[in-house]
Amino acid sequence: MSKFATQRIWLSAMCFVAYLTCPAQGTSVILNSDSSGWHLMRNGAKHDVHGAGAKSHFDILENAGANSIRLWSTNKSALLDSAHKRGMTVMLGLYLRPERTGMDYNDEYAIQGQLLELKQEVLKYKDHPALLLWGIGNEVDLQYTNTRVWDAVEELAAFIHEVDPHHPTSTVLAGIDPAKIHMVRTHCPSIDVLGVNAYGSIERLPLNIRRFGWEKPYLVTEWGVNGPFEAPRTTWGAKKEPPGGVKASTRLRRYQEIIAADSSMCLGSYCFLWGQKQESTATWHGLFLSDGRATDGVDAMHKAWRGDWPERRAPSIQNIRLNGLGWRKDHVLLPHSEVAIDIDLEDWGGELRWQCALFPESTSKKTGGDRQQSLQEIPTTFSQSDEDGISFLAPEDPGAYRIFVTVCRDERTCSTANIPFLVKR
Amino acid sequence: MRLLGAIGCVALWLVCGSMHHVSCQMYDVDLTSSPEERVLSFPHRQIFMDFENSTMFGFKAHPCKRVEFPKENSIEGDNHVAIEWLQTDDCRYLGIGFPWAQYVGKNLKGIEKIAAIQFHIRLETGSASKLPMFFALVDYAGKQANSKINLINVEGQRLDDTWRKVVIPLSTFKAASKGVNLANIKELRIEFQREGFVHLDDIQIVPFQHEVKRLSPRGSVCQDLPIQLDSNKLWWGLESNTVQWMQPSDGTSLALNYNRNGIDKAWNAFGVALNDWETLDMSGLYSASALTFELQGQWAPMTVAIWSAYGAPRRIQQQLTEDHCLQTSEGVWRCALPIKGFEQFELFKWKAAREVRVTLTDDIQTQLSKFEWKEYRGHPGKPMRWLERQMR
Repeated sequence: MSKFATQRIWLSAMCFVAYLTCPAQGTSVILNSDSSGWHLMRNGAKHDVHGAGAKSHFDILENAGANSIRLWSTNKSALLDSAHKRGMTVMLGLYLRPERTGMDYNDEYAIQGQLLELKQEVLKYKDHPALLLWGIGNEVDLQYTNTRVWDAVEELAAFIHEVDPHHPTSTVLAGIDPAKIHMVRTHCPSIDVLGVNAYGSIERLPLNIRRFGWEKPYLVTEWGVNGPFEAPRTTWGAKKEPPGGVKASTRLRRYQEIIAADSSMCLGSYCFLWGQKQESTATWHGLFLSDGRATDGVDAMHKAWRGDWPERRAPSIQNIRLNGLGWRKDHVLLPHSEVAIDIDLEDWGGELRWQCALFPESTSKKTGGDRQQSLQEIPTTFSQSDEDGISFLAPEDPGAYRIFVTVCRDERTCSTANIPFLVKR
Repeated sequence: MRLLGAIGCVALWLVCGSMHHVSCQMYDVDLTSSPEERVLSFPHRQIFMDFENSTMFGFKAHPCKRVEFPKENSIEGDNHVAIEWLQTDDCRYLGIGFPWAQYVGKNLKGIEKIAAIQFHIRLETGSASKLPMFFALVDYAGKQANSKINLINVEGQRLDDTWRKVVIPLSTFKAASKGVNLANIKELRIEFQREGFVHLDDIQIVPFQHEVKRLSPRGSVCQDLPIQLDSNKLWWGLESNTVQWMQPSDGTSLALNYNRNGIDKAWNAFGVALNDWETLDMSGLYSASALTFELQGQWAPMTVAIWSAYGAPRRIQQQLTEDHCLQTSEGVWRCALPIKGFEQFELFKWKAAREVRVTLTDDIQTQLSKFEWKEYRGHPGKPMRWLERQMR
């Protein structure tokens, strides 16, 4: 008997045992459509997804009005319990290895091994009361060449329908194009909801979903400000990150005008990222700083989900300048020259404190949110130059750097901004 | 043959005694016997039996890793390896290694396709469908090839707190593609990520026939032109009032009716898949070809782009100008866009061509028909001349 046959028998036995011993203790989630469009119904009640990609800061998340979190894999399954304790639901990821990490979707041995692992994960978590829907793969289409990956997605989705009829299936794309929509539509008929990670491309997402022919509902499974891969660059290739206040405003506008506005097809969203990560910079996507303090982006999500601002708003940096020139410009400095930093700040009271930090420019070429190493701060002396500004001496060594400014209210909530610069003789 | 080999080996041993391990590597395996016998005759099969009778590193106390050798409940020898780990930012690399057979260079080349690393594993508690641990074969140049546990080759196809036999076929390390010299392997390393607590025992090389089943790649090669871009192909963007088939039953003429200020102003693009959205290898034909079509009613500029499935640039495009079109009669234009007229066409990944896309940039009310990708024998900058020749 072949290994694959043994594997099928084993899984069937597991399914049967699961069926006999584990009556559905979880919740029932179904998709409904009526004249107003698609709805996600959880235990009979409409469940618009106000979600975040979150692994921590659940108090703040709950307070901001969120009702769901997204997990990219089953590695941190304890978070299902954390979410459940707070009455939140979970979009649970089943991590299908993307081709760009070396997975070969022509290699039957590798594919079947991976599917066997993930089917066991499905059986393990299908009755968890926090489970909202399954996310099969995350951005497996990013830089891929082999469309057989969709067969793997379908095999898992069909398996889920067989063993867990109580939760819809989804797969998450790195943006959409006509080819990807066609592939999911035709190769993955068991996919119920399309997940789309969209940063800059969110602006045309509702239009493109329709133009490219997707007819089922969709979720915006990652969104936020334009990603580093879409950012304008300096002449030496450094990415220009908008200040915290600009990013917060962008988030709020995108939520209100795009996500919430497309209620007929869009079931909701998961903002990225309710936490912190290094992706080109330490502050690009994260709504929190590395030390855990919330930023003005969190306030924007509070406004988006609850409709009003939090009582104690974070300060918000609207612009940052080096020697009087704003963040959109290129900054080339002489070694050891004195540099003045100043910012435009919107503040809402409280005691405000500035903090500056100098870092080398990131050289990471990783894509798709793949893990990047944090950078080491360069010890630098900053001094108050006048009432509104701070100055420092540019590094002696030529090269690419980035200066960060963080302003915090009562040491609790903050806004950040940064400017890349080049030191050149 | 064996006699000659033995003489050669002795001669080499005499000439350079210090290299005798390397010179005899070619005889680690008897190539004339059955696959199983060949593996069983491999002299360095045992990688780990117990701590006293094995060579191992990476077992010293470490803030993120604890390695012990419990005697109880072992499979082979006096004890086994128990490893508990927790990866943090302070310890990104966690691993143990087995430079088995006292660091001798092991020649696994002859048994790569017929052998596997076999061991027993159990979790301290609970069960898991996968473990964050990777196996690496490292050669004497420091190059390493990785593989991992595949549940298919785990006894009972599950990992839990009972001993389960696992095999990792040597061929799954794909040593050649990683530049690893399988004829001179120094050690087996096991690397750990995230967290875990496992017991390992009886690591050895065993005969194993790995079923290699490779699926054939999708996509196809374009053998000849023309390609008809009609309703037999897959299209997108035809759902609005802007672009529709003139007569669905005909399927060769599109009605374009675009108003930049109309309610459908955003629906200004449509496209056609060259090969059902799989790749179409056009590398043998693209250079002497053109996209051609006919406009009936009104002429207007538009952008025509070719998209690939991957590579950079993903898209090459050309703006349709009056120089591309020959008016053949009142309100009728025959147009040709030579591929060599597309900017960056040399950089385009022609092996992965996927789509032709049209974007309407101006108000237009016309009929687009006879859309084809066809052979073009003319100057890329002078399509009008070629069109005139075609008319004759």
